[in-house]
Amino acid sequence: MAEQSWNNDKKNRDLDRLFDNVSESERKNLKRVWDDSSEIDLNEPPVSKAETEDALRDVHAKLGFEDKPVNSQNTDRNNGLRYYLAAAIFLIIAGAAFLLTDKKVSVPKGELAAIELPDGSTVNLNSGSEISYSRLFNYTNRDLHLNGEAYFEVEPGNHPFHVYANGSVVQVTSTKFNVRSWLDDPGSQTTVSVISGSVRFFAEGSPQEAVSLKEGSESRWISGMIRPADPDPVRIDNILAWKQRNLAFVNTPLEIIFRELERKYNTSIEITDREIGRTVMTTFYSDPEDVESVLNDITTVKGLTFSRTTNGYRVSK
Amino acid sequence: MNEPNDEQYNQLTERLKASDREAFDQLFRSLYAPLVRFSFRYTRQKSTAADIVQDAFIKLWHHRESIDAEQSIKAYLYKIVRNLSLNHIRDRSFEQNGLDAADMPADQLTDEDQETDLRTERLELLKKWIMELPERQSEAFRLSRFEGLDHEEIADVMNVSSRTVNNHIVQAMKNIHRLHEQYLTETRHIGYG
Repeated sequence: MAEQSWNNDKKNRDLDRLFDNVSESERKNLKRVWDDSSEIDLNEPPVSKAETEDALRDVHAKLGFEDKPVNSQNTDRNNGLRYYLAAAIFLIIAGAAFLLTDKKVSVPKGELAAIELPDGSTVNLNSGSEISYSRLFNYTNRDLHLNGEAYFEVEPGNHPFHVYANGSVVQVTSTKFNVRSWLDDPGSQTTVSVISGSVRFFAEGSPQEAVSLKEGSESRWISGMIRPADPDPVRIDNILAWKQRNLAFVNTPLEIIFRELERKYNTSIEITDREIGRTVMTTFYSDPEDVESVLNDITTVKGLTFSRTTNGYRVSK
Repeated sequence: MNEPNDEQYNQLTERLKASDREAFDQLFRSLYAPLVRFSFRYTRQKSTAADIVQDAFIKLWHHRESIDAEQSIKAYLYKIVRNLSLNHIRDRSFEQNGLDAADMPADQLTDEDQETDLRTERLELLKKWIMELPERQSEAFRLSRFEGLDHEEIADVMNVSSRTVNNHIVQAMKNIHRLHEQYLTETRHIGYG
């Protein structure tokens, strides 16, 4: 086994050098030891090909590699091969079709959800939110699409973690952050708030115009902006209120507050006057039991009234 | 077993640095068995040796981007396996070192066909003597003769200069020769040589 790798210069040079400081008489003895030892087979303990393949599969599993189906070598050559080929082709086609469809998670209105991604990162999803990602998530990339509001705790991984949110992108390696991006909110604004670590935030297609967000800061991007707004400090309690089923709004237009209530309570709130929607409000509710108590509160403070409709509520002056 | 040559190893290293999984698999298939045997010399347990070598490959993958392409990947792996093996022995505080020839199964020293008796006996003796050498000498000699590493690589693995490697190997051969002479006078055996 040593013989074949032997024919190279580097090793012959080593051999020459070995005998540099050895007397002529001794050289002959040593050369014999050297030559004899090449016949020794130190194949202990034996390690078979099958063992090597098993070990390789274990290592793949530990590294999170996907494994191809095992090739059966030398066995079942005549009978099995055809069957295996057919099965393999079927599996490849079925597998590819399966892999090409995205995995979707959507949260019904009135509910919250917490899911673990294949890379071990976790996502908390607010009512009515939806995320989707490739079945190869963590193998070829860590990209996911979000419409709604989600809080991420990202584990370190082999690929950068990207959140695509209605035209904007958040790029991170490992950190905790909240993304709020409702397609149906007025202005379809995306807000990214960083709880720990840091992220890069940019419009889709313009990664060079990124805003770097550090712990405790947030930035907004509105469709059409080349670059997200400069970072502002953030009150983390407010941002993550939704995770505890609390409601927290700072100078937020009623239009947005009502959308939030609609998703949270799976109801419908209409306004009789556009001006009502533009009224801003700062308020906090700790896990409010029902939507009526909140509406009662808001309308009282703002001098409005509300009434029931067939499928929800109507707010008027 | 067709072991890759130096040139192929260099290519595999480049590909590995670029996160090529096939290159990783190729390295694994080429070096797993010899590395398990290498680790076994220290740990004396095949399952432990196998675990160590798997860990070494996992480390290799995790550090693939920082591997020095100029350096021998083979030496790099032997070095990791050696360190892990030595750590294992230290942690388990084995009283005897892993190279103790007394651990060699006795039946392997005899038990062969009549015909090949002499040659086999000679080789078995040689093997036994290699195992009985002082640890560093035995290590250097084995890496050179059985693992196919060149002196620079062995120096890297053992964390010494290549000059020291040279000395270890020369001393190893001198000792083996001495043991052989001793054996001849003790037994008046004429089979060897």
